[in-house]
Amino acid sequence: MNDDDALPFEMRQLLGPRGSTPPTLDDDTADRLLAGRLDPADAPPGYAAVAKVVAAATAPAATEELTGEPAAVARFAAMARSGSPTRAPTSRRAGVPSRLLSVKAAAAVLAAVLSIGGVAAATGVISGPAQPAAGHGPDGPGRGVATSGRSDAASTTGTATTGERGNGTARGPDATGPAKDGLCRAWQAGQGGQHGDKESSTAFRALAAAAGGADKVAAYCQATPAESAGQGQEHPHGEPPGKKR
Amino acid sequence: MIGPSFPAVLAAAQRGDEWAFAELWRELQPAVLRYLRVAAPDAAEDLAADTWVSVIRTLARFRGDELGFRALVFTAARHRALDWRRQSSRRQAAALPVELLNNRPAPDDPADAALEAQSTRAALALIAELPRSQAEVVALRMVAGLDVAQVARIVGKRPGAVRTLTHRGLRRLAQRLAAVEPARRVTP
Repeated sequence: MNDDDALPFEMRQLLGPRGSTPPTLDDDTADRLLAGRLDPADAPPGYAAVAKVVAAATAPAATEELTGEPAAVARFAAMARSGSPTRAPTSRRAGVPSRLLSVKAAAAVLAAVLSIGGVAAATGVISGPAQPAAGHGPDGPGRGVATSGRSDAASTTGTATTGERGNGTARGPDATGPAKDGLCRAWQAGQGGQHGDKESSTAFRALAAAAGGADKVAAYCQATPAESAGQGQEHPHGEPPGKKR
Repeated sequence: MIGPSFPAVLAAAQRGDEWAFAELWRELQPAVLRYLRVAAPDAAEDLAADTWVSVIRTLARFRGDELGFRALVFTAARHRALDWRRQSSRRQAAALPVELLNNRPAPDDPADAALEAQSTRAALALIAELPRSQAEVVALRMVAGLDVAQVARIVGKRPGAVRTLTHRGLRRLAQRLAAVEPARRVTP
């Protein structure tokens, strides 16, 4: 453990005559010396100079050691405020719907949907259907994912919040619902070389989840339109987002 | 030491109150800086800032008294120094400085400056010349003001080993300074 303490023999020879080797201190004297409580005049032979060094090393703080205080203090206090009291362990928050988190989740989903909408629109295949999905109505009972993109965050369930909080990734729209149509078209638009890229996208994962597996997406999308997927919702199109309960 | 008001200061710091951080920083920053001037001389300032960052990461969960808090801070400082040294392994070669071998103080010898000018920086530079494990425990005990048990926990050694290293370090310092003293008498 103390390898760096072992000096080669020839180095010890160079350290000087043996006679000048100071004695090893007893514990009490060492403690007093280190604490700066040993007067150099009372120090054992050879240790007076060490006591002076201790005094220098433990001198009151110099101005240069305290420069930068305002900036450092402001920075660290801000870090503590943003980090500690509100960053309780996730488990404690489970089941507590947080408006902020739901809004964040909704925003993440909206961003994901808009991005795939953008990709699809760029291919010139679809224009409308993918975007309205972002704002559309209720999912089936028990699904309750904030990732349906509802803007009425207050109605989001606790489970949804926990899920978002837990894995920190957006889930994308519920592709079993009205979003199916747009997602399928977007996916199909990417077929032929490109769509492998998309397999990691939030929207594709939503589609795969609805289809029951990534390899079943093609079959799933064959069975259009979305309404035929048996979700049994009233037709959502044309209704203003966020109005429904 | 902050003393009896420490629990209130800690609680306020955990809430993110700036005045409390100012108290903690003023109390500990100089000692952290001095410890790091021994443990990682070339990067002391940066590593002191890094030390505070990692202390703040664990601050909310900290429960303990002022000594415990000091131990937390110096544990963080030591980790920062170890990380830094791992990244600059070149430094390991310099465990035994040349001045130690030829008994003649160089013009800017820290030993000379520590004795003559009572310079804090020179004193720390002198301690930094000790073999690393000795320098570490001497600095933690002397500059950080921690006791043997705390230092033992921080460096992961038994208290007896910490005492031994401390004694060796102090004796080596005495030897080193003895080599300077006669020289100072001849050259005023």
